[in-house]
Amino acid sequence: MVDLHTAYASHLREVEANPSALERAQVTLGRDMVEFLKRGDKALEAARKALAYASGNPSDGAGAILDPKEIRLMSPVPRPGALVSAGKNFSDHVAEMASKKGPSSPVAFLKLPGTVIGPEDDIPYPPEVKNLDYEVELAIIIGKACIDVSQDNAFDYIAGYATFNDISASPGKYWPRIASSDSPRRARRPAPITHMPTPCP
Amino acid sequence: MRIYVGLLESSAPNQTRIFVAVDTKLIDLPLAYAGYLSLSGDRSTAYERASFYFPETISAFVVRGEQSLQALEEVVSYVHKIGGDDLRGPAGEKVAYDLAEVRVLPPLQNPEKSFVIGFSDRSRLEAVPRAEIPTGFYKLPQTFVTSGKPVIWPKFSAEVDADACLALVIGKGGKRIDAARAWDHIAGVTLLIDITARDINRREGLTTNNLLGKNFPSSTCLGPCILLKPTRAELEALEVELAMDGSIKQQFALRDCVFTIEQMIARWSILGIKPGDFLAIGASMAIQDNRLQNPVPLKIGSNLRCSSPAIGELSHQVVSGGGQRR
Repeated sequence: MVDLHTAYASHLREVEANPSALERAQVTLGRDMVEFLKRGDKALEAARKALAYASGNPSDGAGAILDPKEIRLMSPVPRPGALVSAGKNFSDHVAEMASKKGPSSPVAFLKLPGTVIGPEDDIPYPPEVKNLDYEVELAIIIGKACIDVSQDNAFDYIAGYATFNDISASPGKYWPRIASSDSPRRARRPAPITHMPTPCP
Repeated sequence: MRIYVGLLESSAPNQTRIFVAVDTKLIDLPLAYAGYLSLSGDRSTAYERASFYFPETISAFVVRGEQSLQALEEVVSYVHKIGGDDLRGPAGEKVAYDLAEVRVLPPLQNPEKSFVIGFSDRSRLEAVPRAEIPTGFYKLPQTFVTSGKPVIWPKFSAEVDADACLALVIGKGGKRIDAARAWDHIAGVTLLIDITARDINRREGLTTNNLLGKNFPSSTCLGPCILLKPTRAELEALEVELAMDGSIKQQFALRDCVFTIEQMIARWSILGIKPGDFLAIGASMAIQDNRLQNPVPLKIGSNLRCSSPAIGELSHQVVSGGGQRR
C-alpha cells in the first residue's frame, strides 16, 4: 500500500524540487477521501505521480510503502452526505420476492450516513433483532455535486465504486406493528433497525 | 431562551456564530460573553474562553451542557443590565444585531439522526389508529432550509403537501434510553415543516420507504431558532399552527399527539442518539375532533407560515423549480 501523501511529497521534493513539499501534497490531495474526490483531476494526476514515484523508488527512506498489515482500513467514505440503496434491482431477486414484479424506475431507500463502518470492523448484533441478514451491494461513489442528471451524462458524476454490505433485520421479524382500532396490521416502513449504528460495512 | 445560528456580513463562509434573542435584538454570544469576561479582569483569554462556551454551532453548544447554559444565563442578565445598544465586545466590537442583519441558518446543520415520526399512508385509517410504536422516516440534512428561503417544487411531482411539526432537539446522547429518563435528554425544541411529494411518497410507500418523496432540496423547513430548555408544561402547551396564504390549515400541541415524548425517545434511542439530533412529530400525528389531521396541499406561489409564539415563525414561498413537469 502506498501512502499517497508521503509519496507525493517525496515526488515533489525529489523530482520537482519543491521546498514546501508536505504542505503542497496535503493541499493537492486533500485530507480525506471526500476532499480528494472534490479536487478532481488535479488530485488524480498527483496520485498517479505519487504511485509512479513510489514504484520507481521502492526503498525511498520516507516510508511511503507500507505492508497492508500495518494499516487499519477505514471506510473510504465514512460519512457520506446521502446513502441511497437501490432495491429490487436484480431480476432474479425480484422473482424471489412475493410480488414477482420489478419496478419501472429504480426504487431506493436511505441508509443513515452515520451507520457506515470500515471493511474489518465488527457488526454488533443488536439485542432487539431476531434475524440479522446481509446483502452484498455495489456502491457507486459520486464525485461531483449534481442534480437532475440525465441518463446520458450519468457517468460524468461517478468517481468510483466500492463494495457495500447492507445489514438489516429481515422483514417481518422486526417491522414495527401498528394496530388499528379493530385489526392489527403491519406498518410498511423499514424498521429503525436498518439504521442501527454500524450496519454498513 | 431562543438561540439562533447565523452568519454576519463580515463572516467567512463557514464561520457561523450563535446568538441569543433578547427583546428585539440578536446578541452575538461569543463576543458578548468575551466582553462580560474582560470586565472582570483577564482580558487576554476572554475570546478563547468565550468561544469555548459558545462554539460555532448549536449542536456543539448543547454538548457543553450545564456550564454553557450557566454562561448563557450570565450573558443574558449582563445584556439586560447594560442594555443592547451600549453592549460591546472587549475591543469595542458590535454585539447586538437586528434580525435583518444576521443571515439566519437552520439551527441544526448536520445532525446524524434527523427523524420525523410518522405513519405510512396505509396505516392512516379512517379512525384514529391506536399505534404501539412510533415509526418514522429520515430527513437528510442537505434538505434543510430556514425561514425566508423558498420551498422549491420538485419537478418530478404533481402533488406536494406540508405538515407542521415540532422537533425535539437532543441535548444529551444515549442509547436505549429508559422512558422515565427521556426528559433529561431534551435540550430544546424548534419548528419543522415536513414537505412531501405525496404522489412519489405514495408510490414509495408500497416499497416500504421514504426517499425521494421526503428528501428533495428544501423539503425540510427548520427553525428559526431553538427554544432552549422549556419546562415540560411549557413544551406540552406550545401551540403550533400552519397557515397557507393567511388561512390557518393545521393547529396542534404535543399533548394532542398520538405518541408521548417518552415513547419517541425510548423507541428511537435504540439507534443511539447524539446531541444536536432531533425527533419531530407533526400535526398529522395529532388528534383533533377524534381524527388525525391531514397534511396541507400546496400550490406554486403559496405562502406558507408555520408559527408558535414562544419559538417564532417559519415563512416560505412555494416556487417553481423550473423545467418540464414529469
